[in-house]
Amino acid sequence: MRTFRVKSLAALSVAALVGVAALSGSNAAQAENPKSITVWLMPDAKDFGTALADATTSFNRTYPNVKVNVEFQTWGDHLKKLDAALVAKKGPDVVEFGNTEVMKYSAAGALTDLSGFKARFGNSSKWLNALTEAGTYDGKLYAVPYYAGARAIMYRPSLFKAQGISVPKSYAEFLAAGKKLMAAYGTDKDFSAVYLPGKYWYAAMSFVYDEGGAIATKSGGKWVGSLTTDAAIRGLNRFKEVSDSLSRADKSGTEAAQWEVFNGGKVAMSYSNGWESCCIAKVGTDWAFFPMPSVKAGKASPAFLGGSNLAVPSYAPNAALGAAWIREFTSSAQMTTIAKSGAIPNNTKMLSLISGAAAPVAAAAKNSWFIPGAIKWVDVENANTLQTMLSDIATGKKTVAKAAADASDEITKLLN
Amino acid sequence: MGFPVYWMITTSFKPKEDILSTTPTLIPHSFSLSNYTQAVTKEGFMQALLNSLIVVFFTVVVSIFVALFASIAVARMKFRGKQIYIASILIVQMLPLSALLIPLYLLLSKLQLTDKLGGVVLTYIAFVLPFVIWTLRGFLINIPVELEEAGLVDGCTRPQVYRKILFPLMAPGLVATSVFAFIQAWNEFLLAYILLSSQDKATMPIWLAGFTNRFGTDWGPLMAASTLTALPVVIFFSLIQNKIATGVTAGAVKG
Amino acid sequence: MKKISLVARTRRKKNPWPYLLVSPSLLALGLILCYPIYKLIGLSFEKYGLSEIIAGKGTYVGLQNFTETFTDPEFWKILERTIFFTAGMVGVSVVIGAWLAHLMLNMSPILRNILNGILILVWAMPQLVSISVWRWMFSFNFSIVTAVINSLGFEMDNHNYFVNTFSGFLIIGGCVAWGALPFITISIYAALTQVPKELLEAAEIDGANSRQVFRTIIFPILLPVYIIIISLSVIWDFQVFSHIWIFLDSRPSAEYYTIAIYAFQKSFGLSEYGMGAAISLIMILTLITITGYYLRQMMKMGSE
Repeated sequence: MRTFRVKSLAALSVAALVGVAALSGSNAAQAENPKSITVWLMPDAKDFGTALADATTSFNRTYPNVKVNVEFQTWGDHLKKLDAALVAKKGPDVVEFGNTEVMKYSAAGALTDLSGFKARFGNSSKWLNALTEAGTYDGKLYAVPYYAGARAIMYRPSLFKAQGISVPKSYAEFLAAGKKLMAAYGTDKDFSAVYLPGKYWYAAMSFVYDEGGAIATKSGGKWVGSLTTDAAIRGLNRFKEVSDSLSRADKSGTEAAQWEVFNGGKVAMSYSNGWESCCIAKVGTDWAFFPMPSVKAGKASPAFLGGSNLAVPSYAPNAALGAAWIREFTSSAQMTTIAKSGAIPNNTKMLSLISGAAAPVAAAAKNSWFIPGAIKWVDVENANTLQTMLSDIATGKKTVAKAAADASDEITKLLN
Repeated sequence: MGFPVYWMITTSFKPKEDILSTTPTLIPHSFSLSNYTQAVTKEGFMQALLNSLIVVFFTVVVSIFVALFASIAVARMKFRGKQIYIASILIVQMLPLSALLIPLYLLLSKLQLTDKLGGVVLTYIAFVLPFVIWTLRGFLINIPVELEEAGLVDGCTRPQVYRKILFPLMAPGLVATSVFAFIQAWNEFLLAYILLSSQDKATMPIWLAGFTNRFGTDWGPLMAASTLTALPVVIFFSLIQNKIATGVTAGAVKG
Repeated sequence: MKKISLVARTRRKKNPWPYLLVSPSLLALGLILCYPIYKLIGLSFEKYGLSEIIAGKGTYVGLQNFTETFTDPEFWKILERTIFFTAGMVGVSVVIGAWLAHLMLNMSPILRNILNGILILVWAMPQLVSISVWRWMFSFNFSIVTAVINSLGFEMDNHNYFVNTFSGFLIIGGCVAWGALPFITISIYAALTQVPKELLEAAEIDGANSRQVFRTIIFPILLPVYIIIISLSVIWDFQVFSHIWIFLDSRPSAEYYTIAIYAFQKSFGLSEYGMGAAISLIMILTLITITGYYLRQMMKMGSE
């Protein structure tokens, strides 16, 4: 039976791993005698200083005769390529997944169960929640947290200073600050106190989670869209409030390349990823971050945590070596390098390594929300349910209550 | 008509700050070669260039040759199965590539042709052939058979008739189809990406894709790189355009 | 009068030439495409998702993929939309292409070379880049079109050109047609150059007006090329995917679904390759139906 085959395949690969790992210590290479392993990463790895090279060097100290072939993929098509490899029963030994796309593969049995090794991966007890959740299925670990991206408010200190505004510590202060900025600069048609595109669901849903709501919840084994709860409605109303009074962004647009707009100089605040500061040369050094404040004064609102995980496909020719390489690449040493290059490392212990202007972003990573852990979540993303709901709210096409109800129904339908 | 091309070229010469502006300027104020240096020094450029040239050379040469023979048969001769052949040529072009990706990969994997430029060349030939055959047939039909017959009567052998009379007259068609084949092989991304894995086998489109990462796209260098990749096509076109044009006037239509 | 070559006429019975000439192409096509097509058909009758990939075999579901698609009310709307969209793009690109080609015929050589050069450059631009430039021209924040409209005196706020699907499809279709123009123009121009000058001169001497010239001399020569161009345009434009996908930020809303996008969303995006195969076959059959009758007619005309 199919399920038996899948489970036994996963079990077999674990057994193989255990077998080879048992022999491992210093000379596992002799046992299998493979010549090389293949690692699929995104080009982003090139931005992490020497982490990649160091990981391979360290790996080769334990496995001297194994060449590490790193092949860089593209975000748009790497899953097609992986599917093709899986059909041909070939596989790379390590694959990088986006954290929102990996669960589908875990659930299908496409990945090797790494639960037995969890303790051997660096800092595994302190892994960031969102990444761990993404990489776990049915209680088993299938994909190791790699790095993350968190969001905070990127703002123009000069504009704040000119209006005598200090960094807001609550949503109420945030709203007031925005209104003051709009009063001062809003006569320019292009100016936004807070640049908030209508379909920016990562930002908008933060308001919902801040109120204690959620996109979907599991009750009695079934996933149910939960956007019609009081908490969620409150959150959505806040989103509408900010969009209506503080933002001139496209009410039906996405946040793609929003830093380009920030760079244009007519934005006071934007809900941005840490790395967006890389490219705003035109405003020079006039930028800084603060965590998006919560409705509860003095606290920060949860922010969406994006990021990547690393997994070993079930058909990997050298599963044990793949796992060993992942261990090297996510070790404390490499994580430190990654953190120093500006990305958020996979564990809470190292967040303090991110200093300076990006520190608030790292702090935001501690308090994050993630998508519902449903296998069919991908269907909801593909159907653009949340984006449509939000843009209907922002453009006024539907009332908040109606939009939320429609979206909830669709989510319930799609997730089951 | 050419505005997007103009935009691509002028952007490639703009320094980074000027590229992202809420007031786009039609005529660039500052001129900078930094994007070009960035593009050319990006890892893998020369290798990708070489790989693409190899792939394109074989694809164009083989497909034009094969298609030429086939189109002569289809345009000039009657044979059993001709209708089916023509129908197949057309139907093959209706196959959506994404549907065939996985079966194709499976096939080439069995033939040990994955991660080899040869596998990519073969696949490109298969996809380009129907189009080239179909197009050349159209051009061939316009050439009066009497010319061929006159040649045969004059004592030429069949191949000579083809070479001296037919090919020069088909020149415009040959130009259009070889440029098409060139561009297909030169700019195709998805198949190459799926079939090739090693970094040293990457073709130009795969290399170009590397300008986009989680940050979005590095526009300046991408535009510079794209302008550079467009150049070989222009060169190829002008080369064959001239060569064949002289062929036409030389092997003149004798009336 | 049938145009059969002297040689073929005398040796029609056992002429090996056609088969010899055709065999290399059959070999290439057969080698690469036979197996995938066979697999494609097989897949369309199976459920073949990620779990099946891992398990190594698909689950036979008979016609379920097909019935699911045909009973989906969205499907028919999408098909209709695709047909109209395709017709629009083909119509515009062929008409403008023909016009440009005639223009080129009557141009001075220098101008012609410049236009040729521009066409080649447009043709050579990597698709991702040309779509991105077009996107830019119509983006919300940086649109040069909005800027131009404003500078002409019409007050226009930053505008999302894609909220309205008609305007959106117009722009996307425009981009596709623009990209298709080089091939169309160059091919029609090439065909026009095949019109023997002597015939044209003779006709002029005989006093024929331009309409008669067109009908009796130019049209018959252009017909085969028009058949090629229109049939190919229909086949390609029907399958347009990347343009819509990239213009809409990889997140097209349901009103923008064409059959190619629908195929992707229902299958490849979800790694459901069985369904993807079924929808692809439906696409192919639709295309064959649409082009089949038309082609038959044209080919009958073309071979007199």
